[in-house]
Amino acid sequence: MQLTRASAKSGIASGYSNPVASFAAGLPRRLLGLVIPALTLVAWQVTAMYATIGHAFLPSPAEVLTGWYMWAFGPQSSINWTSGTFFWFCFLSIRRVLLGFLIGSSIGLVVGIVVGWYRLASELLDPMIQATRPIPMTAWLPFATLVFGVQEPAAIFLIAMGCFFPVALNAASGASQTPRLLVRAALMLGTHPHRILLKVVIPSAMPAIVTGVRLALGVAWVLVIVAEILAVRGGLGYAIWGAYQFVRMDLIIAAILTLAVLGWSSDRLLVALADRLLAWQSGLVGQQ
Amino acid sequence: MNGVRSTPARGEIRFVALSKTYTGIGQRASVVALHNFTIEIAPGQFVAIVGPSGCGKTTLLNIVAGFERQTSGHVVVDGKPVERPGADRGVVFQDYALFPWLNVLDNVSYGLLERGRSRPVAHSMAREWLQQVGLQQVAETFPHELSGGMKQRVALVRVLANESHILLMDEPFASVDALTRIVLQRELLVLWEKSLSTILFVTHSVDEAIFLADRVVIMSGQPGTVAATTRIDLPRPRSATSAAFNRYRRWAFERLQAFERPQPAVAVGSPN
Repeated sequence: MQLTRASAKSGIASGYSNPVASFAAGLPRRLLGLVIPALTLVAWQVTAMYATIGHAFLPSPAEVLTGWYMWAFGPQSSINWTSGTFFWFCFLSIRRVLLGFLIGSSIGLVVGIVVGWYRLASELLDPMIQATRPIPMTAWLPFATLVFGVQEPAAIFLIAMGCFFPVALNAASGASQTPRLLVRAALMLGTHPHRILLKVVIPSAMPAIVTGVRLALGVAWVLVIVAEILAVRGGLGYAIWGAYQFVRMDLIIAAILTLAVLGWSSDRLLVALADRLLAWQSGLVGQQ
Repeated sequence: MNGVRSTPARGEIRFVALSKTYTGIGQRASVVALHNFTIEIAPGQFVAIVGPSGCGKTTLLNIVAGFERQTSGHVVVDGKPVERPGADRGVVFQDYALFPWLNVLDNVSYGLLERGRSRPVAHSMAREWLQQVGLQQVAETFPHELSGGMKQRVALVRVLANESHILLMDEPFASVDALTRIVLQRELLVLWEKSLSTILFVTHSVDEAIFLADRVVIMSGQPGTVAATTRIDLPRPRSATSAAFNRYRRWAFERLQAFERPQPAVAVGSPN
């Protein structure tokens, strides 16, 4: 939209159309975003044919596809994880992200709203939150593994911990900025003081909460890979590390691309949900 | 016109020696916002309060609404001292205070739902009220898509639909343009005559007060207290250009001048 509009304008101003701009203007907008990935694919194919990267040969796109096909649809065996485990591994990673994200975000939402709204809660909890927050999440991993063992809860604990902070901090900041006028409006219309949190503070903090939740989802995908490399069996992070040990560059790339697809689609899902929650903001915020 | 209205059973407000002092913090001195404010408002009466900026008008309204506590004295509504906000006293704010995340219909239904009405009942009552102010077309739109005048209509029917006996209006038409203000003033009178509610209307416009109210209270500033009050014995609709209207205006401006000038001896009472 932006590009097409700009090119139309420059065409009128200069008296002739820039050929690159008019080509871009002719393409449907969605396809425009595929230009760079397509060029990357070509460059990758060429590089794979003529060059090596570092110590390893770069597999061609076709080789990656073949490796991935075996990983996804090959016969399953108990000694070889590179065959027939792809969907199971995806499921494991998604489950860990989902559980950790839901647990961490929910706790973060409740704690954040309460800390942002009630002064007593803020005085009680905020110093602890501020002191815990600078600890890198990865530093918790050995602790989590010793407490929970090389098991699911270790990964979920780590992811939940990582999701807690962005949601809590953003929710607290949103809640603390609730307009007093709207609180008064709700009270004079008969809202019980106990319900102000639900009826005014949370809706008013929703844009900030959405920001926190989106950040949390990104953190969750980072931490699931860390946890799967170090603390739990199975999953895409486990596959990446296993592929590294057998120098299977094709599987490493297949796993990375899978993570891109999963991360991107989960964010899209979240944005679609957020757009529904924040529909009231359309036309109220941002550029034309 | 008051003969047409039956006297409602509820909506009486009594201010008894109401005072409010804001205690100074650090370098800031204490401010006496209200001192010994005493008036009685009968059920169904339309009372306008006029006074200079900072005379404690808004503080007064906030205390009746239950948003702030007085330092001494009482506000008694229908025999009960005011202690907290309640749906019996609806407030129309200058800045509308509509919930931006609710559409117009949900804003108007909000109070009804909070007070336990079912959704279909609340929605149909809200639609009826929106129809009365000609806003049924915008029921599904969000407040930010409306003009100032439309927002204030929504804010008004939001408290009327909520069956408030008392309407507290804090310079409600100060944020809209002059033409819209005239239309809104007329609509307010029509709705008030139907609704039997008591209105306490704060304004800094003498004309608006005389045009609308049964009774005008002039407040002096710092500390805010009752300087003068009068009944407006003019039939509605009132003409702001009539001689009788002008007599009320002159009376009001003389009272207001009396305490806005530092040396009252020079100007007060001298007819021009």
